[in-house]
Amino acid sequence: MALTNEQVIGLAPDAASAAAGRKLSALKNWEGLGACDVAVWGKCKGSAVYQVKVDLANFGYHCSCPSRKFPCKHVLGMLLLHADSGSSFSEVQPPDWVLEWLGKREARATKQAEKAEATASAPVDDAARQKRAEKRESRVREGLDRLEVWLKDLIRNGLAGVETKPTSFWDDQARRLVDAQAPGLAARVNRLAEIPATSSDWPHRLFGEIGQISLLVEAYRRIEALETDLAAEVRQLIGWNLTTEEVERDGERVKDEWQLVGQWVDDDGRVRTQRTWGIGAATGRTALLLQFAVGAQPFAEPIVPGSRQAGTLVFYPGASRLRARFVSRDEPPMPLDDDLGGSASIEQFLDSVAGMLARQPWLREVGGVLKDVVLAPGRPWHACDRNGDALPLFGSQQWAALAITGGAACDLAGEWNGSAFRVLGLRAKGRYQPL
Amino acid sequence: MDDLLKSAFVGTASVAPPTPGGHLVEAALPDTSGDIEHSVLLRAGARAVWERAGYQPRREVLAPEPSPVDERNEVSERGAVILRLVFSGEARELLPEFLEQVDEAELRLPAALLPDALSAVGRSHELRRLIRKVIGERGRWLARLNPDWAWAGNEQAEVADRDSLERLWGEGSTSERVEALKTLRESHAAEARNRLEGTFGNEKADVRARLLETLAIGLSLDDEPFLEKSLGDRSESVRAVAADLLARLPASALVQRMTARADAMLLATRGGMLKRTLKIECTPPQEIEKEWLRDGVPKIAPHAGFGPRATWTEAVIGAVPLSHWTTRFEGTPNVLIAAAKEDEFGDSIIAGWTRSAVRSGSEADWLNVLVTFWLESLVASAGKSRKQADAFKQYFYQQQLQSAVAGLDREAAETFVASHLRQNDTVGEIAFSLLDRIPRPWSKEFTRAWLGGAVSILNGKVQRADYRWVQSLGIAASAAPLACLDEMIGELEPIGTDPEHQFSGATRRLLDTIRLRRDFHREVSAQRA
Repeated sequence: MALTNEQVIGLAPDAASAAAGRKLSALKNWEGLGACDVAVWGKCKGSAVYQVKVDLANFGYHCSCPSRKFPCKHVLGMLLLHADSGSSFSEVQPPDWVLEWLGKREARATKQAEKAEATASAPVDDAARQKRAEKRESRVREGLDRLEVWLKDLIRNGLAGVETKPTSFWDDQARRLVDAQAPGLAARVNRLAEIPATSSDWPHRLFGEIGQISLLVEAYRRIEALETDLAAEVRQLIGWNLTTEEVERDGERVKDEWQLVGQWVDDDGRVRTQRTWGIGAATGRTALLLQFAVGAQPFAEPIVPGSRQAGTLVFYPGASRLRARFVSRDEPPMPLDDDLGGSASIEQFLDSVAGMLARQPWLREVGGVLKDVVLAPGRPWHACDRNGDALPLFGSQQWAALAITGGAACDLAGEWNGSAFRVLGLRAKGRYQPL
Repeated sequence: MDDLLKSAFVGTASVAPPTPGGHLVEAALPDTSGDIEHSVLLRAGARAVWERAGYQPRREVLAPEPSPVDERNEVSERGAVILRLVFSGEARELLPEFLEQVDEAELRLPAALLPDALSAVGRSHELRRLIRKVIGERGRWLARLNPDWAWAGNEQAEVADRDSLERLWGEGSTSERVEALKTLRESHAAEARNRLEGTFGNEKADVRARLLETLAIGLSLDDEPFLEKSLGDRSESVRAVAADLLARLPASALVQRMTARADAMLLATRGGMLKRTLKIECTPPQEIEKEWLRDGVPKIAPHAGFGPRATWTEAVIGAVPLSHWTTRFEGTPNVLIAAAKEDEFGDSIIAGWTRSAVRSGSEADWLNVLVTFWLESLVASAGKSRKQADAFKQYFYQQQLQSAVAGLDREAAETFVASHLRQNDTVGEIAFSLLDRIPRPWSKEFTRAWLGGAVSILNGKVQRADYRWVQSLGIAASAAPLACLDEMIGELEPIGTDPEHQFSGATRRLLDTIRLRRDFHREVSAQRA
């Protein structure tokens, strides 16, 4: 397997790294290049000699240089070289320093699996845990009561008044919810603060968002009466997090060939969230893979848009069944060249969104592929299907997308947020292109 | 704003909400037992979900017709990676070379790169011309859809037909009008001038100056009346253009006037033992008349460290054809320069001759002597005292030398600079500072001469105190011809990879640029085959 040039450049953390990687992709910079079916390796001669290795089975990489960028320019350079001239990687038998590293990774993976099993079956201090859980429930209940009073005041006094309120008006309420151990609701209240400034129909939007928060509070109050999946979802939305062990124990597992059709990183200044949408080639399931990183830290797993990954995903328990994580990858990722799964028409896509909302009404973003659409420039851009329906688009790569398709129909991958479709990739003329 | 929202907006304390049950989805809501606000909140939430689920797409949005098919192939993926780097700002000076190669190989830019390419070009006329050749049908189609790229929407940039010229002249931007006028001037010189004269008075000052410059194409005495009139223009830049153009016409009245003034200033005597040594003395007037200013003589000194009389000398003599002096004084350029240099205003006289030589474009004999003269003057003045007057002089000599070298033809310029590159001292340094006056691309011979000089310095055989020669690495990286690149890599690689070397960083940057050029050339050539 080899990543294409484009995919390797896509891995780069910034343009400077991409450029530096390209400069290092010349044969003369390397010695001891080798590849087998589980790894690619080499030594880069620069101001010092650095050992670079890539694990193909659980896609990962390592370089002995001191750089804080991930992947560093040496990894990028080697992968670019591998993309262009695989035959230069003449060694077949991995040297010790590669075997040792692969061994450690394998050991770590096994250890994690064992640990998961262990915690699943280990006896827990039930009493203490019960007490903590009860304390949290009562804190949350109090927090929700206060939130409800605050919301009712808003309605009684009128939303018109919020235009002149300072940010502390929202911040204070959000902080109180954090104190009440309901961070999910706190985040929603924080988002309310941006609405009055952003659009001319802000009263309508604010009204809707506040309404939905109220529905969530109401749902929590009646959580006993909800069916299991919806109850689990409500708890997650309010702010209870599941541990990896819980997810892997209770979540639904789906094995398929997952087409990773689009990715973007949401940066709120404190934490970066990498959102990748995948579609199962056989099952047609849609999955959202989330990773988090603080500051300039890299994301833990390399998830490459424009690749297909055979493996098993475990879906987080709940009503939406979108968020998932890989529990096993059966092969190294391959370039995504095949036909994409997705919605045959915009109407079909919106129908599927409506279906998801019926199961989980607080759902905001849904990823998917609109098949057989053409792009129309304008303010805003639109994707138009053969039935004459059009969805508004947003994103920074519309012109590149239009240039690639040349006005012909394509399959457009992206994320729908209720009012616009964020363009993340497209497939045209048999090739997939992340954007 | 519907009634429910209105009530919430103004406040339920002021306006009661409408009774529930009107909206379909509200039927599913629980009874809130008279809690009005609670009811409003739940209804808001229900409606919001309803709207989200019931989102209606827009209908009948017009999409563009598909692009016409391209015959040319796209540049390969590897070539595209390099192009993307260059479009994003790295090594932009290589863009013209790369675009030419793409065109020569009969390839076109990859579709994904078209937006970057069209945006990166900016207003540069030359880059736009090059880009147009390689964007293909896809690129033109795309450009027609975006007003910012309208300039690339059609194939023919060299608008040879009349209608397009008229349209550009009437409606185009200033740059487009200048180009249109230039094109017209090439085929119909008189008509172009007449059109210009017609609208001249209505144009803004900076536009007038740019348009007037186009008369340099096909300049002849027919243009004299208009130019003479422009000597009286309100704007100084226009007057300067007119004076410069008239000075290029030896038979013009301006040149006659200047010649008379110069003749009055210069006096030749023969001295020495046998009364054979020519000496030229210069006596510029203490004050000048209005007519001098009208003819483009500057009132105040353009060179720091030179007074007004020196300035007038240079300006006047600069407008007189050199043949006048070789005739009047009966001497070769060498003799005349030797005769003038000892005079109080010698530098200005010779600067004037330099200006005249560069302006004429056909005084190779003079220029060959002048470059040597200025070089010697610069060397003599270098390293002298740190007085400001000497610093001004040095700067002046440097400028004169650069102008003179720029006036040489390619071969003469290369020969002159190459012959001094390896020298060990100030002369060598000066030679390096002239590198950006050499037309590009350099010839193979010149590149080898540069390489020899640079390697000598890098290997420590030749010492340089001045850091300026390092800048030549950057110039050489893009000026060297493709045929020399492998040789340069061979010679400079050991230095680039030596971490102890003082200049390894700068050398590595040069090597990176060269490799970029070589790799791109290889990619594109491979596709051509």
